[in-house]
Amino acid sequence: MKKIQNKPGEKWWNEKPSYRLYYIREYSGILIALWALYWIGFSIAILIARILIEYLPETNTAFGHILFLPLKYYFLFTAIGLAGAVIHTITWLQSMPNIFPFRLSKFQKGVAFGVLILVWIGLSAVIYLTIRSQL
Amino acid sequence: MNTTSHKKPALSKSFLWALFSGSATLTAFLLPVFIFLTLTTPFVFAPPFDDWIMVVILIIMLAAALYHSVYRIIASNHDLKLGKKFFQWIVVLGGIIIILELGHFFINTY
Repeated sequence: MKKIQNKPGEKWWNEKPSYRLYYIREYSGILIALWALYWIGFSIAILIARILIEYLPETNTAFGHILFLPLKYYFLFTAIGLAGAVIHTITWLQSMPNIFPFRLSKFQKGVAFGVLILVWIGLSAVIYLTIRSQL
Repeated sequence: MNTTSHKKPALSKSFLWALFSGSATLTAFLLPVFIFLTLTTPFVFAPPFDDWIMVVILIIMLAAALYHSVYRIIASNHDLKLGKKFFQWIVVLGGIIIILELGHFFINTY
């Protein structure tokens, strides 16, 4: 049986805006992963610093310098993570109406996306204001 | 030709995908506000509840964020082969930070 050749072009992801959007959505994960890796490193540094302060208070100051390095990059990595998280949220909620177990028209998908965005903003506002008021 | 398939369902893949879907949804709803809180308040360092609760929240958020990101990068890597570039970017970014910081440390020390 002759196989049908259906190979995409070399830069097929540039052919349509929806293809590009797909990859923007997929690779927003890179920004979030960078943020997560930064926090894992930061948490390990805090843990080591606490152990050193507790048990080896006369450690060379060079160690202290290295351990507190993540603090200098706090804003940079938090901004990277926030950008990635917002892109991920919008694109994820946009794709959610497409995987509902029932068929929706284009208009209904738009309405569902709007409702999900409102739920996200409302939930975020409640969490932010609740925690802010307790600090 | 026999067109029916009697293969067992890939349960482990289904489980991993379900985990991805759940972690991506959790991340979508909670990660932006969590990061915004870490940016604008001392929420992580002086939480309004017990420290261990903060540790659990941090672990859940980091695990969900990292798992869904890595799953996505691996799953879509067959097209653009960006997984390798992703690790290169991490190495380059880490290298730049280390060089800058070593320079800064030596200038300050000597």
